[in-house]
Amino acid sequence: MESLKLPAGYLLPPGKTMAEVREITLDLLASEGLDVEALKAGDAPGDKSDADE
Amino acid sequence: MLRSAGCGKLEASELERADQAVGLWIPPLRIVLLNVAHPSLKGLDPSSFAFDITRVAWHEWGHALSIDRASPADVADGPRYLELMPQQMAEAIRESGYRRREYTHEIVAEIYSILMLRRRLGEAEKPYWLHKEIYELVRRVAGWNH
Repeated sequence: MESLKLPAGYLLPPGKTMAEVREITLDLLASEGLDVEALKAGDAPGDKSDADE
Repeated sequence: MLRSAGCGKLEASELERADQAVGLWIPPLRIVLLNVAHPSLKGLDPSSFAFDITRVAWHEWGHALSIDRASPADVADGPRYLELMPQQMAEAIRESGYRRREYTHEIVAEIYSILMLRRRLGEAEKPYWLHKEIYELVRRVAGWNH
């Protein structure tokens, strides 16, 4: 139970950058044929509010 | 922050580990902390910065759900679940120095944050690259209801 009291963190592998980790994620999504460019640009359908329509 | 809330203080090794994190879920305080000054976030263009912060924030919220809801059996199964993860994600978790008892929480947090990204693109079903057992784990622990 000790672990439940400790912070849970987002750690990077030694020597890896957020950019490299981001690419792992985007490669997976791109392999599904998803529009990762829209995600990166903050222009995915779910990013739009009613006011944007 | 923990001390000011009357929760004692972290051991030096835990404090050092927390300092290296891009984000943290602090169970006793039930808050997410994001280290926007983390070296790995320096020099990013605004959209990449926003993408990474969003990803880490959902990851930490996945921790909040997992740490509250994962059963002892789920936690014990962490090393087995890790074997079922996409190879590059499994390597990243292994290489980041997480303890074996943290594997399940990391897996739930990582997959939950990616499912949230996919939802923004209108995709809510199980991705083809995700093992059914892990998808069921995330559904059960994080309440993903698709």
